[in-house]
Amino acid sequence: MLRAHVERFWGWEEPASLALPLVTPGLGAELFFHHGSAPHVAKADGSEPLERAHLLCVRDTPLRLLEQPNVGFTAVRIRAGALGRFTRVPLRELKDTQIGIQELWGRAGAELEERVAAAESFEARTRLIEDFLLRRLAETAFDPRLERALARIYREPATIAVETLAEQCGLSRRQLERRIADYFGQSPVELRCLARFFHVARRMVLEPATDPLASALDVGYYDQSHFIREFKRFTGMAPQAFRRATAALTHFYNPPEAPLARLSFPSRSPNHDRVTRGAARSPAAPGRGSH
Amino acid sequence: MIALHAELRVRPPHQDEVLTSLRALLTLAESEPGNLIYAIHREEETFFLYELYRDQQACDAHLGSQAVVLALERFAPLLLEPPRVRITRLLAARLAVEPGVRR
Repeated sequence: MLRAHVERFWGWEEPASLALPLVTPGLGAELFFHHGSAPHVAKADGSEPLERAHLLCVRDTPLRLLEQPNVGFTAVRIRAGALGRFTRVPLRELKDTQIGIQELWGRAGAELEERVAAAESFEARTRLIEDFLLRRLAETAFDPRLERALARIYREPATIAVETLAEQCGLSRRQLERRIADYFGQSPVELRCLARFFHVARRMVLEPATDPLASALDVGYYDQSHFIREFKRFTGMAPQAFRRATAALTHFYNPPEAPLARLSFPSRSPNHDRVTRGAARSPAAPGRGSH
Repeated sequence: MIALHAELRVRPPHQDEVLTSLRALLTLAESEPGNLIYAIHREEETFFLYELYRDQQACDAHLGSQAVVLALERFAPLLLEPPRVRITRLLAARLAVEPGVRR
């Protein structure tokens, strides 16, 4: 049951310092249970500690974490659009937040945090979290029509119209907009902007030799200035700067969203491009920093 | 060195399919100079992967490759539960791989 809504359980143990990558905007969400040192969010005027057990929510602004010593955590990657399956808090209240587990799930959340902190293995921690999420799944109402609408926005960002979605759901345009905003935290138009951004960002990471502008036009950006403006809004940097930064990103921490792969781009570069690049890069910087 | 441990619990009718894909990923790993070990184990319905990389960057290059991202996406409906993946730093090891057990 859970695998339809959860992409993976994963954990990281790194006693030395780890540079955590930029958390880019997206519709996925991620639960973290830190048992090493506490993570900090970088702010313009310093930094702010996060709760040890927290949820990084659906967002349309990037989040920068500080380099952190003694990293140890267990995490759960929740699929795009699936967070509403696990909480009754309207997602528009959660958008762009990093909220403590206790604040999100009250006493049940506090109990989970305590039990996970006391567990002695990755296996035990993930089983506790899995049981908890299965219980939330069973007691949380959801709307399959809205989930199908989101899937279409993701797969057809270049062409999908809000009116079409409303018709498919049997709702008026305004009803659909309000319900989607409550359920996913963003309006259909904002979701489509995010989907476009993701398609292009994903392709830039996986096929670095491809011209980003060509990808951008494929997913529905009008022109170069539209693409660059949107890209800066979501990442705080220009596409070229993002491409340089992603060369050093930890993709697993910050994965491209799976549903995007179903869009078929015209093939402009060989599949193994990414691998060749990685291989060519590695000898130049062996053991980058303290990793 | 960085180790990646993954557990995939696969639905019985799809186990051969998943194993074939994992072997393809192993072939890919062979072409990556930063990959030192790519081992596939199996216990009934669960596949265990143990992968050892020279550094974080080599691990990232593998995980970020198109083949891996697409394979994970393809696996999703074939699994009984979400994959469990751990990344840890190698503390100590004796590495002596016999050529006969590569595949």
